[in-house]
Amino acid sequence: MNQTLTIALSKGRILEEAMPLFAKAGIALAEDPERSRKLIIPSTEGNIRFLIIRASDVPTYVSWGAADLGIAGKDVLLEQEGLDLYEPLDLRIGICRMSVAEPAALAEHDRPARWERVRIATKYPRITKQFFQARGVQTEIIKLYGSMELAPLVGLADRIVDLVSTGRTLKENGLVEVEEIMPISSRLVVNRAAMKRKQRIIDRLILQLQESIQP
Amino acid sequence: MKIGGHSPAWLLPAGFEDLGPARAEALERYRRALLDLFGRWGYRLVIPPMLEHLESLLTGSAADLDLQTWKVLDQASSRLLGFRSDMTPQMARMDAQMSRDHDQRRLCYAGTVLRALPDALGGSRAPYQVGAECFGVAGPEGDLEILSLLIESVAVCQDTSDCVLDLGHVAIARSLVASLGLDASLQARLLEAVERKAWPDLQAILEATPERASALAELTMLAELHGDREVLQRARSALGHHSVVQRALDDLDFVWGVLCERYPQLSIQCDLAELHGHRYHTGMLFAVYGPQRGEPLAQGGRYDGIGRSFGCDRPATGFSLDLKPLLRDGLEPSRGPRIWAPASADAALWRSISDLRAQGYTVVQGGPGPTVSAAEEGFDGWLEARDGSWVLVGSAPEFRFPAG
Repeated sequence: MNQTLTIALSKGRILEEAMPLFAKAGIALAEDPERSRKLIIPSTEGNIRFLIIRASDVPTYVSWGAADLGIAGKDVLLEQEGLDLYEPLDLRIGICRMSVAEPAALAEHDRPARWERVRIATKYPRITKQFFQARGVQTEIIKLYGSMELAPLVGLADRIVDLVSTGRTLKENGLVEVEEIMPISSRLVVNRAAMKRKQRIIDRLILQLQESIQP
Repeated sequence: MKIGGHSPAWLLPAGFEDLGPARAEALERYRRALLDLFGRWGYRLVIPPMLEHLESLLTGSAADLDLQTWKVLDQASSRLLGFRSDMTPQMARMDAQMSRDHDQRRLCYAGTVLRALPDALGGSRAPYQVGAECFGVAGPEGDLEILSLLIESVAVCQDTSDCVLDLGHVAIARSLVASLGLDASLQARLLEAVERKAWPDLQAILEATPERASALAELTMLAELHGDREVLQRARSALGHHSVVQRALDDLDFVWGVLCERYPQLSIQCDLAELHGHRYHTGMLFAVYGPQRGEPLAQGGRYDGIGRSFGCDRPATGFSLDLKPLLRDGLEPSRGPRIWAPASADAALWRSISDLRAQGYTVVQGGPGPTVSAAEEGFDGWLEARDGSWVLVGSAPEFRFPAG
């Protein structure tokens, strides 16, 4: 059976860091997605194509089977409720951490172990709620879609929960990381039916990617 | 259009939909065909209520259905009731309560189940479940019967030449995890990781318990135990020292062999790490996957002992399928010719119409008002008065009804 594979991933850091992994597995994009405005990009390996979509849409495409596989950050996977996907590989790309940060002035005398009630601005309400709930801390969560660092500076929230990579954005905005919630990296996710119906070709891809992942 | 504010009352709640004539007729056609098939295999139709006392829906091992069960308070008794989110526990209850003079019982059902939580991805909250359950037949023989019926049921709904039957057995992963002697919450986390095939997570959990190195090797081996029948052989040599695994492999091998003989065209594979299903499953698991669906077409498994809390502990196995995802667009029913008849109280016309209907034609009699063009409206023919009698004309074979 000549089967094709559709792989969903997002532009930017994940794409950049995933391409070398695919390249080592002998799969390259036929066009440069950062330049092209095409949303479906074929690969040099004829039976594999890539969908270039928003990071938070990757689980949706894969869940519905519109893509067989996808690459999504653990943050995106944990934030979306009711996902039923296989997550066989940690690609060790897009590495960062989910953390709580607050203004440096607050951090000077703040003691996270004594938090009782916090007002958090975040793009990740579900992860935030679960983290603080597990510690018995009351939360007021303000959902934002970007530039979380701004919220504590203008009094919208007293702390933020966000992805931290180098910590530079935090620093430039006078914030400091006070608590790490969890380490984050990107996972290969696979649709359940695709895993069954295209087992051989997906197995081969997983094996190839596994070999190209940095130890 | 105004966006926001109160939505109009006629908008259906999230996850609910009407089925228009074409889809409703298609669903009914599938339902009938499946229930007829089940009937020929000796499965008796039962109709349990949409809702019952919550405890009875969630009794015993079906407790993982709790979150998905919609609850209401019974004004009459002040007790909590739940809408069924799955019909299998209801079948187990009915089996336990029906007379005990049968060693075996075969039941089938068709109905809507409700999901309390809207599917974040926009799926239905009211699947239409049709299924069959076999009680009192232990071991692989019972599974073989249910599997054969499952395959023939899928064949009623679509071409199976491009379908894959996936076999699994929950006892394999569960017994490997149980053999680690970890506490219950850690075991649950491990099984959840196996279910997601999240091998890195599994590794991370077990690395925290270093003395379990050999167990880690056995559990991660599950990652490779899927594919053709030779997988059973590989599993036997690697994990055969666990007696539970050995028995599970024997059972899988038995049904695989017979299914190959019975359905030589069907492609069968196994996945020994597969745990999808309900917590009440205790043995073999199976699912059929078709093209262009992100989910299985039909699935089921063995769930011995679910009736224990109803006072009837006996083997049980079954399967179900949701009919709604099968209702693709453009699914027009294959039916007899449609005939148009003019509005008239003429007795001879009425006899002609009745005659045609008795022969299986669909006859639509127009109302008063402008005459429609039967051909344009998609009719295959129409009744026309000629020389004092009614004649069927059009693409349907021309036929003159005897006058009087």
